[in-house]
Amino acid sequence: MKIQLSRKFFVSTVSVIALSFCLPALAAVGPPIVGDDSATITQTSETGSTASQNQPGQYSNAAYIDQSYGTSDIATQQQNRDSFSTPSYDFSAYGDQSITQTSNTAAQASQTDNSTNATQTINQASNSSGTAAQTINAPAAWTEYNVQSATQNGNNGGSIAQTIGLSNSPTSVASNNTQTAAQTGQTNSTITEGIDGDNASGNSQTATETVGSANVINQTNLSSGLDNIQTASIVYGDSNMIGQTHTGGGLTNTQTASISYGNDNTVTQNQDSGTLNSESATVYAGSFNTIDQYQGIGGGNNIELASVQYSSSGLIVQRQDNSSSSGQEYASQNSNTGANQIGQYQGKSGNYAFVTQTGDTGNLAIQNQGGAYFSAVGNTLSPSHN
Amino acid sequence: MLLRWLFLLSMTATMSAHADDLVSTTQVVNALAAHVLVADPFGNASQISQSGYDNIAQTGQTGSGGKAAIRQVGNNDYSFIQQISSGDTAVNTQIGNGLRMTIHQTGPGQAISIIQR
Repeated sequence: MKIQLSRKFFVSTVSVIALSFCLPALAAVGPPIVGDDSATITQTSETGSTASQNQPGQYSNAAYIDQSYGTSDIATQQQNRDSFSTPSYDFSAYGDQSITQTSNTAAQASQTDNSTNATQTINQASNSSGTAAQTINAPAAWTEYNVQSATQNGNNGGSIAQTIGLSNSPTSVASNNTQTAAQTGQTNSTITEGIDGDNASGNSQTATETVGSANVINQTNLSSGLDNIQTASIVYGDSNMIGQTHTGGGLTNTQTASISYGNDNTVTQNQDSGTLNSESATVYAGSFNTIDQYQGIGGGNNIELASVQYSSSGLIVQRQDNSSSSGQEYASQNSNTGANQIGQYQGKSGNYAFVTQTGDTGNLAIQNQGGAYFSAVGNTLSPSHN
Repeated sequence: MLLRWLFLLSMTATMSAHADDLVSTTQVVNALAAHVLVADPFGNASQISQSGYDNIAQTGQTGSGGKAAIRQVGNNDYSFIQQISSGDTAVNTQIGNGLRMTIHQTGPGQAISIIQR
């Protein structure tokens, strides 16, 4: 089924639903059978238009939406599998859906993927305050090996929101999915990524801000699963913030953040539970950047890594709270131009803290282990309450 | 009890200092008792390595069996180590001029090793 529509200079609403019915679910574990349905919607120079595509049950469906030179257009797509129960199997796999919105002020794009091995893409350019939302969900069964990506370019005040595994059903599994978000040349924009669901494991989320200022990246891992990876980067940007939070427990989850060629940026990483989890943050060629890492109650054998190179006036704070044990903290500030500071705190037993500061002047390093809390005033050390 | 505590307390120091260096090692009983937040921590280890000038390194440990090591290479550096439990080890090395070093230990069976040159 293929639909092409084009209308100019009129307020309109277009809704196209492409429906296909699927093969039994068990067949999804094999390769795609045939290239199947395709649907295309094109809307040009419209205001407040809506385009919607839904492909509920077939292999290798393709759907495309293109909205250009309009205002406040809305595009939604779904690879559907929301009725996973016999006899009405609804199983989609290997689909490919994309939304492109160009020069479309306040454009909105959203995609939902409940299938497996599917790809969904949103590209937005020159859309002031445009929004992009993508969800990989597992409402009743497994959702795996999907790829979602969203890019925004020159979209000041824009936002990208991505979520994996909203459902907490004990039978749902969201695993080995990938989400990527990138914003370039923007200010006052946000990227928000979340991993949810009890059984979310092996998922990857990546967020990047390039040549922008006053932007915010927030990544949250609420799952108790394993081996989830969240990565955030700022390249050539000032006054940006990266926030990464992991509160679901689990094992061997990773949070990584990096700042290069930027000033006055802040990285905050929190892991409140779980074991063998790691936080890593790096700053390269910037000044007045801050890295704040925290691993909290109940965790053990967790690792915090922080590095600042070719920078000045940087601050690294690493904390492992009162119940954490056998943790490791590594902080280094090398090849910098001075006035850098490192503080490390570890609350319980069997912890290891390591600091290196090289080639600098006027640096300060403070380590407290086992509940001690010290503060430094000039060259005089004085203990104080936490 | 006091004699037993004094018997258990051991300290070793190795030092080779410049004339303008300041070295201070003291033991202060229960100096940080009011600030202990965690019950019975033990076996923590920390290291600080600094090179350059006018740097400050400070380490505090409240649990037993703690190991603290600071190494500073450069001039006008300052280091401070404080350990309040038992069986702790402090190793402090400074290389340069105008150096200052302070180590406080308050428990039994603790050891200090200092090098300044």
